[in-house]
Amino acid sequence: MNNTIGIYIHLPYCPTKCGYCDFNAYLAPGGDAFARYTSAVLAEMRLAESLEGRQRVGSIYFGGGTPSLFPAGDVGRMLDLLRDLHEIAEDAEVSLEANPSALTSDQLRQFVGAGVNRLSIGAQTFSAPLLAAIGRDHGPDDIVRAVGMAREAGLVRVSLDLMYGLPDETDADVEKSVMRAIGLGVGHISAYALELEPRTVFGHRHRRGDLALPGEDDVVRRGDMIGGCLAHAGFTRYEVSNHARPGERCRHNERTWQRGRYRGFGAGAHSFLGERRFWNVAHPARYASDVEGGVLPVAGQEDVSKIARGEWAYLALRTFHLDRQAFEDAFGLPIEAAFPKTFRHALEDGWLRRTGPAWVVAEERRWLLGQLAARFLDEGRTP
Amino acid sequence: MTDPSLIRNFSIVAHIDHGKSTLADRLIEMTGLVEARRMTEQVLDTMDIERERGITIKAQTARLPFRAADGRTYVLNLIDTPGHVDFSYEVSRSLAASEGALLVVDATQGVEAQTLANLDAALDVGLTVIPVINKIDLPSADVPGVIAELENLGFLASECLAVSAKDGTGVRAVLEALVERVPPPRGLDAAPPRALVFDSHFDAYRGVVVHVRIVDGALRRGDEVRFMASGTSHEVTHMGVFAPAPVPVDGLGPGEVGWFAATIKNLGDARVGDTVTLAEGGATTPLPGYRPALAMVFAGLYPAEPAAYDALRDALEKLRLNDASLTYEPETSEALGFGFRAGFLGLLHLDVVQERLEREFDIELVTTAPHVVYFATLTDGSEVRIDNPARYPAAGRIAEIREPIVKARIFVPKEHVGAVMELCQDRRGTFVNLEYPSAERALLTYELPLAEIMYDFFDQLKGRTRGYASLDYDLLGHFPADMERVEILLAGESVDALSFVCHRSEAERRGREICKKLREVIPRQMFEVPIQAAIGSRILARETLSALKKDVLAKCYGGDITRKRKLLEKQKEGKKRMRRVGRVEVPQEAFMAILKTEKAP
Repeated sequence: MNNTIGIYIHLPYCPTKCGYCDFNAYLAPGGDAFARYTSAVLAEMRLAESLEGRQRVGSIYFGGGTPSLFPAGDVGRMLDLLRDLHEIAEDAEVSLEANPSALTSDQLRQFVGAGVNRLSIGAQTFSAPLLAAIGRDHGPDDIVRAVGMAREAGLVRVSLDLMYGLPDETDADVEKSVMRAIGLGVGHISAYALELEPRTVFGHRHRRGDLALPGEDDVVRRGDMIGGCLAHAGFTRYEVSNHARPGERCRHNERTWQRGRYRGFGAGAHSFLGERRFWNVAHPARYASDVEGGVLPVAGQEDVSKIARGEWAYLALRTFHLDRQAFEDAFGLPIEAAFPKTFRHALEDGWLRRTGPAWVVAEERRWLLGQLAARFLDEGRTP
Repeated sequence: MTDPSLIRNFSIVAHIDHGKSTLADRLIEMTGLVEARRMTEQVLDTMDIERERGITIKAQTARLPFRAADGRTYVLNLIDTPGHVDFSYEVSRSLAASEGALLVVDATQGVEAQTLANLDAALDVGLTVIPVINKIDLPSADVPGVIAELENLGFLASECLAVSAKDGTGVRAVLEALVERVPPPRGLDAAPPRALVFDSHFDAYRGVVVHVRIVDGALRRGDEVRFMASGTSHEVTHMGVFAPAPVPVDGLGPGEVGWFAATIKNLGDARVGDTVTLAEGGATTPLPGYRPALAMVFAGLYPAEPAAYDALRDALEKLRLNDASLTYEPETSEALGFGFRAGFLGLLHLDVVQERLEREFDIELVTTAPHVVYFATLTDGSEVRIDNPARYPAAGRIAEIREPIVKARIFVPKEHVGAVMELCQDRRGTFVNLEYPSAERALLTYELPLAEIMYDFFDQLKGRTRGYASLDYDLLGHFPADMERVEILLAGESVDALSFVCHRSEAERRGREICKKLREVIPRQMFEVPIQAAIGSRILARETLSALKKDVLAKCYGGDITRKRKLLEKQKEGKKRMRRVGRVEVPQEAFMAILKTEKAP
């Protein structure tokens, strides 16, 4: 994977806006919005190729928004163009995020036909009242149906997204959700603790005192319960919020944690090409008009070459593993020598233990990762 | 040297904001020293902080040549005075260097507490006082009302001058009145010289520049002079007058005001109030009134970054060159590391020093809560002075503890007398007197513990009188009191920099409030932190800071790792400003929490 790049394509439209979501997502407009947006992404891909050159692609990820809302033909055109412009690895992972509502067998077969080989379904929870409370437009049965259709369409790799820490949620709700998800036989489950973002419906309600969120103790207990159930079912927690059966990890996301390169296309998409991180204009219409004008729709960028070491550790910590050899290969010195202060503290304070080729975060500290990550980031600056 | 009969030495005194500096500027301008168009700002207040706060901290001086109506040219020496209660000793020395004083009263505000204090101080040293009613240009000016108040203070209506320092109305009459009413200096020509040091400042090239008023005899460049209180001798290398910038002269005769430099390195050798005479054949009796600067308030000053210790020490050294009343000595705190315990004339002085350290020297400080000085007699009969609660003797060893008591004069509109008396009672005050110097206003005199004034007394006073009360105080002395040292414990460990001394009756309430406040300002740690207030082994209050359970972000979305990384970086920056006390990370503001707990009862 070292010489390959990941490609992320942002498809920003949604059927409804969920109360917790502050992603770059918009209610789907009518008319030719999908076609126009797709054209813009195609134009951006051509523009990028002319400036950055042909790449070897190891993974492709359609994120959103609700990518499954897009006509399969549009997804197909984007994949076709990528195959024209770049060399796509034989075993490339091509993921697409889907909403369980309004998903049809035909559509799924078309996605598969276009080259999609992994589906990530936004299940969130198997409790109908909780789904309604967070503003989802599907019910628990839709999830079951979606997984079945995906399998029929030939999708072997299916992931379910779950959320916990939701308003008025009980331990039983969480346990039921994770057990039903496991019962559907998928190989990958993401379980995200709700994060309250200020510019969301939930954020406003919270400020008004109108949102009963579980306390930190509840969230931690439920997260541990999810991890326990999944471990028992043969899943490994390979990242803070991601659990997979053997061979089922999301390679595109792993690339992010390994500080691998990726190119993001579409409104608000982020890219990292090794030295700098940059991101596109967020609003789809403004994004499209930039691209139509023949310029890269870049909204901002950041040179991360001086914080590379800290960033490497901050990202790797999300997987609870610091691969000593990988660090030395990337930076030419042992990780312990790059972060002497942090290691002294981490070892004295019981954060890390050595397991073969890696430093591993102590099980009981995994909820407090931010504390250690901040130290690595701070010490990882180079002049 | 100037003929003493043509010299008039005077000060200007006023309550804060009554227009002292503006009047000084106008006098300077009118005598032609500084052209009007260059006088964009008040000339005499030179420090930024002084301008921003509208107060005079360092006295400045100017020699004004004035051609009076009688056709003769006089030398008017303006000896400016610091304008705050913290600097009352400095004020008294400036006054002692004068024969007259302009007492400035705001035509819209009338007589205030400092007006009275200043008048008393001027009369104490036998000055001729000329009342000047200022700001008569304002629509709300009430000149007859203010004259009536001044009459109550013993002035004649005909003595009062009405001016607008802002537009210059009546200012010439002030200059004439100085010539007519203020007596010329009466020194002894032939006697051994005696000069009163009323100020000094440090000059990078000349060393300490001493501001003096010659009382008897004369001083000349080349003289070997002796400071009678400090006992040091120096040769005068430069000498001059203030015009208002320094202008060299060869000698200063009786009654004259000027400056000299004598390669003095230490400001402490030329203290305000000291008498300068000749090293050989000099005077044997010093001028009256000298006392060493008395620090009333102490606080720990620590660099926010331990590495800045040397920079802080250098900065304090530099500040002391210009501020002999600032004292400090190295101090080590378990919680804060290496720093200094500094003594100040009062809270404003502390504020000014703190601000200058941060602004002029760019040093970030952690300041511990200010504290007064206590004296204790121990059970073994020995006496100790306590300027730091961390060094408070164990309760069993104390036979008697004495706290500083001040005599406070509070000027207040009649209808608020009750509210102010209630406040004073509440702050352990002892009623002394209530007078009505004018029909509308009362003068309340109370004896109050200085420690009580340090917290929110000013704010409370203003709040209860809609801003109309004014306060002035002098130290009376130290008197026995029932004090206790309250310790603050974090995770079972006593934190020296958080301990404080207070009256027994207050200990429990304040302990409780501080624990509560600390629970708000200390961020949660990875373990539970009990916060306790205790006297000895007796726990007065307890709060529990629950453990941080979760500090991990669920998702970095769409490859955007930048936003969350920045959150972590910000979190880390915040932590750098914290001090580690045992296992607990404590932010700087916690060390000032003690001051912020005092709420209206």
